[in-house]
Order: sequence, then C-alpha cells, then structure tokens
Amino acid sequence: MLSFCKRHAQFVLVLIACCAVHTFIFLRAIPVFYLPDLALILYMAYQFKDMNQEVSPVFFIGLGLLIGYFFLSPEPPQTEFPNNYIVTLKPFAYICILALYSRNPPKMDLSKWVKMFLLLYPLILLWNLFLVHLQENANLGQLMTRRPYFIFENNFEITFYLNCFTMVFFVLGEKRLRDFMLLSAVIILAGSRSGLLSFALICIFYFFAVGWRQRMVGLIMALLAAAYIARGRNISAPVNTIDRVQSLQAILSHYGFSFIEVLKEPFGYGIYAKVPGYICAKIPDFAEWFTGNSNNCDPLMLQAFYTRALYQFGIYVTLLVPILFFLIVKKEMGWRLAIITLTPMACVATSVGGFSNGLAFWGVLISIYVYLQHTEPRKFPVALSG
Amino acid sequence: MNMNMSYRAVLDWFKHNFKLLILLEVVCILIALAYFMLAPRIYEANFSLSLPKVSASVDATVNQPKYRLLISPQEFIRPTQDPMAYADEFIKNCMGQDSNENRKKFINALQLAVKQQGDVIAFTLRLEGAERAANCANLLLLRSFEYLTVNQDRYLQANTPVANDANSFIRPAVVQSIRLSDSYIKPDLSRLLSMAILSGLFLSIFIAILREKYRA
Repeated sequence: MLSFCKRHAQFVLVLIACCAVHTFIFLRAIPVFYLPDLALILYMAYQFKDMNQEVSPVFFIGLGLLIGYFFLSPEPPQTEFPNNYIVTLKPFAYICILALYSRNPPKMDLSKWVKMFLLLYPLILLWNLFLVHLQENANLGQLMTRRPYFIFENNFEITFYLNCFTMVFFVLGEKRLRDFMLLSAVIILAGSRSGLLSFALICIFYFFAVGWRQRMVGLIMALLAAAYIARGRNISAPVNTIDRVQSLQAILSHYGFSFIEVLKEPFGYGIYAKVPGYICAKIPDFAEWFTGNSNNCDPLMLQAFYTRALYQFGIYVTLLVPILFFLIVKKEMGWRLAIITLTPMACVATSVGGFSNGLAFWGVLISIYVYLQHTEPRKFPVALSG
Repeated sequence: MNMNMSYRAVLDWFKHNFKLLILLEVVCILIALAYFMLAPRIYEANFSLSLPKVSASVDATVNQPKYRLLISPQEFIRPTQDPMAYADEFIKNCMGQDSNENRKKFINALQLAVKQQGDVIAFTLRLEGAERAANCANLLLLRSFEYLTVNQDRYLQANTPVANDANSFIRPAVVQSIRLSDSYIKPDLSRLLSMAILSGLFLSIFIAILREKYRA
C-alpha cells in the first residue's frame, strides 16, 4: 500500500486537490463561465515572451471578422436591452489566438497531465455524485438521472475530455483499451446527448485504428453508453421535442424555412440584434427561463452555436468559422488529426457554444501543443520533472 | 504569405516605429474628436403598431387561434421599405427636400422589426435632430396606420358578414406611441475613439511596411 502511494503520490495529491476544488464549487456555486477565458488571457500574457512563429493569413481573416462585426453590426434601438455580444465575438478571437499561439507550447510536459486527467475525471464525476448523495440523500436511481460535472456544465467538460482521449490515443499513439473504457464510462455518467454524438464520431475513428478484439470490446462499450443515454435522456422521443431542435426550427421559421431567405441575410443580423419576440415565444418558457423577460431575447438563449451564428453571422460566416479553425489546426497537425481534434468541438456546437466556448478551445489548443511536443521534441523541449 | 511574429520582432517594431505610432494615434484621435464635434446629432424615434386581424376560419378548432392576421408582417414591411412608395410631401417634410438621394436615405434611416407574437411591427427611425426625428416618426405613424386601416376597410367591404360582427375583426392599434431616445445616439464617442485607436495602429503598421519596402 505504501509503495503504491509512493508511486502514485502525485496522482493522489492532484485527485485530492481536484476533489477539494470541486467541493468548493459544488457548495458555493461560484460563477465559472469565463474561467477558461481568464486562464487563456493569463497564458497568453505569460507566453508572450516566447512567441515566435509564422502567422497564417487566417489570423487576418479572424481579426477582420472580429473588428467588422464589432463596428459594423447594425446598432440596436436604444429602447432594447443590450446583448451579451462578447460571447458572440469569441470564436473570432479564438481564431486569432490559435493563429498567433499555435506554435507556442509551455515548457511543461502536457502529455503527462493529459494522461492523468483521463484517469482523474471519471473519479471526480463519482465524487460529485457522492456529494449529491450526501447533500440530498439521493438513492442510486436518483443519482442516475443527475449530470455530474467537475467545474463547468458537463457538455463543455466532455468536449475537453474527448480531446484528451484523442490526444493520448491518436497523437501519442497509446492505444489502450482502458482509456476507451474510461471514456465510455464518462459518457455514461455525464448523460450528455451532444457528448454522445461526439463520442459516436470518435468511435468511428477509433474502430478504424484498432484490432478486431479491441474493436469488439469497444463496440460493446459504445453500444452500452448509447443505450444508457438513449434510455436516460429519452432519445426515442420525437426529434422536435428536443429543445435545441425547437430553437433551430424557430429560427428557420423566421426565414420561412426558405434557403433563399437565409441567403438574403449574407452576414446575418449582426451581434447586437435581438431574436424577435415572436420567435422566442415559439420556444416555450425559453426567454423567461434565460433572461426573466421574453422581450430581452438574446440570441445566446438559442444555445446551439450553429443556430445562433446562422442568425447573427449569416450562413457564410457560420460555415467559415469551422473552416478557419480547421485550416489552422491542419497547418500544425495535418488534415487527419485536425478532423479528429475538431470533431468534439464541432459536435458540441450543435448543443452549446462549441466554437465560442473557452474550455472546448483549450482542448484544441492543448491537442496542438501535445502534438508539437511529441513530434518535434527538439524544437519544443519540455522541462524534466520527477 | 505567412508572416513571422515573435516577441523580439514586436518589441523591435515598437522601438523603430514608436514615434510614427504615437503621431498616427494622435492624428486619428484628433480626427475622431473633430468628427464628433462637427457630425450631425442623430436621434432615434421608436413606435410600434399592431397589425389588423380578422376572425380565423369557421372550421378552426378550439386549440387554434380565434383571429388571423389580415396581412403578414413581411407583406407590410416590403412596401414600407420601398423608397418610391412615399408621397413627395412626406419626403419633403421628413428629409427637407424630395430627391432620390433623400428617399434612399430615409429608407436607410428606418428599421422595422416584428415583435410580440408576430403581430406587432416596431419602427425605429434615426434622423438628424430630435425635432425632425419626432415629426417624421409622427408622419410615418399616421401613414402606416392609415395604410393598415384602409386595407382592413377594403376587406370588410368585401366581406359584409365579418364587417357586421364587431367581434370578428380587430383594428390596427398603436401599441407604443412615439418615444424619442434619451439623447443623441450618434456620434458615439467611445466607439469613435476605439475606431480611431485601431485605425492609428493599423495605419502605422501599414506605413511601416511601406517604408521598409521602399527604403530597400
């Protein structure tokens, strides 16, 4: 036991620290939404001195879109509540940061922490369920309906976790069945539908990369996860009862379900435009739920990035955002790994922020860094640690 | 096409172009301030009208709405955004002079949005001077109200049974009377200054690149 603790002392210490952080957040419910962005700003400031890289022209496209939408979006009437347009502008800022910092990894060995997080996260989710059990005296049946998390809503965390899995499996080439089983367990515990969608696509890449034995076990695990979430989240219910589908339908009804009408707003309605009240009224209780006032219908309440971007940016820029991300990631990792790395982010964008979410962006950025540290160790050396 | 960017390069750039950057920033900020002082003050007038309704089909079930819109929001918005759809006198009163340019300017100053349950049109008119914005909004309100009322009257004339039952139609109404912005909405000083700072930065980068290119 003592030797086990000695060998895994760091893991145990980090686990205790993470559980302590989670307990604090669980009990205090502190606002954490901008925490990844704060971390990103601090990282950029810290690494600015080491910045030295070829910046692709995609940077200027991202910058142009950022400045353009900020200054040229039609201004809202003074009688309206303002939008939370900073969140809307985040994808363009992320494109610029990715173009500027994609070859600026830290000196620490990221792969070690990524591998550790793969093991840590399921344990933290179990810790969350344990806390729920303690606080609410919830039984197993009640716990199974919960959606455990570490710091943020688990839709975002799963995107990051999937990126950690793809880093270990596809970038580092450590094709352990254990990691896939952990991933399936996390998907089951989290109960996220967009997480299941990302998982399903990652499974396709996984099945192409492993032998038949691992493939069979993986298939059973994936089917188990799918069956569990399908039952728990009532996936067999009609598609149009899903809130994200309802919000997409509501926005499409604004265009009369006509592609031509969508094309008539090539740059969307801009970042300051409210969603018309009659659209919000079509999504039962949504506006009141998010803003407390159906006249304050911020497009953010549509939740899914693609739906919101279609309304605010127009169809061309909505399609351009994933393409710009892909071009930058492809430049560093090649097109195959770029597709795999961006899959979780692109999938979660059907449900939540995706390209405008800081944690999902961290997943992509760290994936590039792990790839660079792994493939170019001379150029990107890591500090040795015990 | 790729550009190298490093901490050293950024520092060197600032060291070599510091004077140029400061000069251009000052020039751009002065231009922005001059524009702010001289630019016309744009005021905003808001009002909203509900569209006329008539009773829905007699076959409508209990769960279906009792009334339907006589004209859809789009059917109202499209002709309202036509610059040639306005009388000469209207444009003269709103814009000072009836010219093709002023007609287009008026349409660009007008924003229309669909509100509430899709049965209310919100008008936002942005024109120079508080008085002009209020007067023009008043004219527009009267014109739009008349247009909607005449449309409904025509329908009622053609459908006498509906016209005879006061419960089978709803007249257009002013949902929100004309409301003027608290102060001018343009020019916006903070926006102008941020544009000036960014312009100064980009201009100095551009001039520095040109200087380097042609010095060689």
